[in-house]
Parts: sequence; structure tokens; C-alpha cells
Amino acid sequence: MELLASQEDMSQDEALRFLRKMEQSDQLGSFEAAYQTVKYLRQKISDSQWGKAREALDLVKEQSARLLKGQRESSVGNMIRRVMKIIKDEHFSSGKEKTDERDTQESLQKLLLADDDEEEYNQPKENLKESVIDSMCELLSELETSAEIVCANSLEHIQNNEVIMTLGNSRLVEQFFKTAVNKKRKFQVIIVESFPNYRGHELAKALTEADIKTTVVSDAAVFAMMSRCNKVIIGTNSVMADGGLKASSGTHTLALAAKHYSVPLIVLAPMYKLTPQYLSSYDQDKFNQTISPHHVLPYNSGEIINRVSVSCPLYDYVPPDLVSTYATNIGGYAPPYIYRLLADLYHPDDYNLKQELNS
Amino acid sequence: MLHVFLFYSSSVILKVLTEAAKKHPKLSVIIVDSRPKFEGREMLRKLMRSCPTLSCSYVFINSISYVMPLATKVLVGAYAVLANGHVMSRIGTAQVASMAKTYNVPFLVCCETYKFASRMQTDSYVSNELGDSKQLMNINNRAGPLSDIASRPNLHVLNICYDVTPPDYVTGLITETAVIPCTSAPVVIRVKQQYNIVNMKPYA
Repeated sequence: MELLASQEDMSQDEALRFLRKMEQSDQLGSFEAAYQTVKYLRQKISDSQWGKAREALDLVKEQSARLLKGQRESSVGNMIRRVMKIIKDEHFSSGKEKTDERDTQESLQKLLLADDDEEEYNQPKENLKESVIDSMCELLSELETSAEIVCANSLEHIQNNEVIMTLGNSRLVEQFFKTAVNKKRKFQVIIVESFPNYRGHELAKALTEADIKTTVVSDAAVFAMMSRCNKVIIGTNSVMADGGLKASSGTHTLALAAKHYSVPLIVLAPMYKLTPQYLSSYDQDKFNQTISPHHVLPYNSGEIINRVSVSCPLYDYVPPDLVSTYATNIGGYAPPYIYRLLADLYHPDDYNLKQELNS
Repeated sequence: MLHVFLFYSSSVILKVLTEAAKKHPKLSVIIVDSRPKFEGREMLRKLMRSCPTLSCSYVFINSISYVMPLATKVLVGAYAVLANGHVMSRIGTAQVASMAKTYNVPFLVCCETYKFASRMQTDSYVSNELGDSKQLMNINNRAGPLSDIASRPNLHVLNICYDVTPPDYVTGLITETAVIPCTSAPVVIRVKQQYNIVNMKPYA
């Protein structure tokens, strides 16, 4: 623990302050949110006195209530689940060889007949704290390298003379294109500007500075331009448990146009974006967030303002059948495989964090 | 309650809705708009003036996935109906059509038969009208991050005005003679040619 309390570590509430700041603006991105969450939890776990897995889990739960309050970024919840999974895994593996019984590929029968885990976590284990903290450091370094690993595959996806469409501005997509161009690939990018933030303009600026031929089109020109594209490469807010996407609004249209012209849709999704939420596309209000409509219709538009209802949702749900491939930091996967990754990364008891917190 | 979803400003649509609002007091419309022209705002103003009872919603084109499940039908105007059944209309129409198809909402095009053209086009890129790219670079009438485009030889801003909707997304064309499927466009053109109504030259 002395090792971990080094200079670069955050002070007690610095991480929490950071997360509060992030809550107020969506500029910081899901990577920072994930990274700071793990760092914060590591701090809490190493600072507190605990000997049993149950105590550590309670500690994480207590913190997660604070972290998740009003949190827009799903990667915060994902990282809490990853940490809980680490504690559970380390509990079962510390001091003895990992038995088949606790393998992630539990059969239904074994799940039914298994003893109550709640009892099990009260057993004290030797060196549990050390191994949990070690695993959390591994998780942090996995996060640090995730973007780099995704981008390392850029040459597999981008060929010479291709025309690639993207929407809005994802830092990962920008890095992905830049990696390809640094490896001497010549290609063209069509950027959909993405109302209301016009993030596409920022991406266009960054790409032209990296000497990539770039064309900016409006959100309405997606279908018209798709006939000229070879690939669509986008980032996303999160990857849902069914293999669908929660991505910035306009992505569903983009995916439909890509499907119409049989253009592959590649989603760059580091694993911290994988969330165990399921959604139906008809259940928009439960997952979507709407922001101030003044971007859509300015308040100074005169008398019409009084009689019109204006909405400005932030996200689109994209069903899994419209996605061709996920390029993740642990390899490329098709949407039907996402459920398996989910089982590998999170413990099934932690899927619904909020419900557990409320109970 | 009847929800009609419509896209961009069109004089035919305005008249259709004004008529419909008189007969259906519970009619409500969702207007979809796009950059850079924001013609939907003008449509909204006109509609509110002509039908005081109509309840209106207004969204931007990238939110259509959010509002489409609420719509019971989509009405659009057209710039031209081509001989192969494709509908040429204001940019963004094809996106609305594909979304309507996804949610199984009927997509109806209101179009007088004088707009039936004997030319053919299968995608929007082949022949189109280019708008001023400055309109796209400006954000809320102010210079955006791309205003220094002249110093960036790699950067292009493309502001195309029309797009072509494939006939499989169009449920029906509502014309002054009948409600017809897109595939009947050549029939209308042939009949009109017999009576010398349509110009024979394909690219007149």
C-alpha cells in the first residue's frame, strides 16, 4: 500500500471532484471517466481497513452510489462493475488454485445448486487486498493502452483510396485515422457535421492538419453521400448488452443508409464502453437524454415558440443488425458475440447496479 | 390522435395540412428540419398562421429516430419524380424515408403530375445542385472552426441541395389524378407524352 500512495496518486477527493466536473460538461469523454473512476476506487480500497471480500464490495457499493448519482457517462458504472468482478475473482483465486467450479462458464445447473455467495464472501482470505490492488493496476494499464491497441488495427480496416464516412467527433476515430495516415495510407474522409454541437467541424480541422483529404457534409446528406463510401467508421457512447449501440443522435440514420448501400459499419469500441444494459428501440425515454432545445429552435424565433414543442435528444439507439463489426482493444467482434464478452468482464450479480443500490 | 410527420417546406403540403386541420381538430404534426436552410422554421410559421388549432412539434433531422415511432404517416413534397420511380426531393428526404420504413410508418409523397420527369437517376451524387458551402461552414450565422477553409487545400465543404429516394421506401405518390405507386411514374409520363404534355427530351 505504501507503494501506491505515491506522488502521482490522487488526493482523497480529487477524483470525485473530477467526476462532478465531468457531470456538468460532456467534454471530458468516457475514457477519462473510466480511468478516474478506477483510480478513485483504487484509492478508496487501499486507504480503507478491510479483510473480507464482503467488506470491500460494500465499500465499492457505497462509493458507487456517490459516483453514479446523476452520471451521464456509462463507463463509470462499467468500471465499478469491473472492480467488483476483480474483488470477487481475487477472493476465489487467492490462496488456492482457481477451481473449475468458479469458472465464468458456469452451467445453469451449477448456478442453481451453488451455495449462497453472500456467505462465501465473508470468509477472510490471505493477501486479498494486495491482489485486488494489483489487478486494479492491471485494469488501469489496460485502459491506458486500449485506444492504442484499437488504432493499431487501422490498416486492416482502411485501404488505399477508400472513402470513409464518420459522424461527429470521437477522439478515438481521429486517432484511428491519424494512425493509418502515419502508416502511409491514402484515403478520403467524409465527415457528417453532427448537429447541435458541430463536432464534425472540429474533427475536419484536426484531420486536414494531419494531411487527410476531408469533406464536410450536413446531417441531411448522409444518404446522398453514402453511395460514394466504402466504409463507415464511428465511435460510440456505449455498446449495449444486445450488441446495439447508444451513440450520438443521427447514428441510426447513418447505420440505415450504410445498410441500404451495403457499406460495412465499423464501430470503434474499447471495452470500457461495454455496458450490461438492454434496451428496446421503442423505449427511448428511459435511456435518452434531451438537452436544451434552443440549438434546434432559438428562443428569439418569435411567436411560434409559444405553440411548438421542440426536442433535442442526445442519443440514438442503433439495433445490432445494423452493425458489422466492433473493433475493440481485445480484438474484432460481431454484435452476436457481445453477450459473451459481457459474461467475461462482469459478474452477473452486478449487471444492475442501481437496483442493488436502491434495495 | 393523428400524428403526421413532415419534412421541409412545400406549398402543396401546406395546403394539404390546412385542409386536413379543418376536418381533424386533433391533428398534430412533427416538422423535421435540416441545415443550412432551416426551411422547416418557415413552414412552422406558415402552418401556425393558417391552422390555429394545429399542434406542432419541431425536431432536427438527426432526431428522427427519436420521433418516428410517434408518427402515423410521413408526408413530403417532391422536386421531381423520375422515370425510374425514384423521387427527387429536398436533401434529407431519403433519410426520413428509410427511417419511416424501419418503423413501418407509411411514407407518402404529395406531388403534382407536372413534376414527373422523363430523366433517370439512381443516386443523388450523379447530378445535383450545389449550394453555397459558406452556409454550412457558418454556425448559427457566426464563423465556425472551418472558416479558414481557403488555407486548407485538403478541406472541402459540400452543400448539396437534393437527394433521390429509392422507390422501395415510398408507400405512395399522391397526385391530382390518383394515389399511385412509384412504379407507375413511367405510365403517367407515357400518357402525358401522348397528349404532348411532357417534354420528350430527357434532359431538357
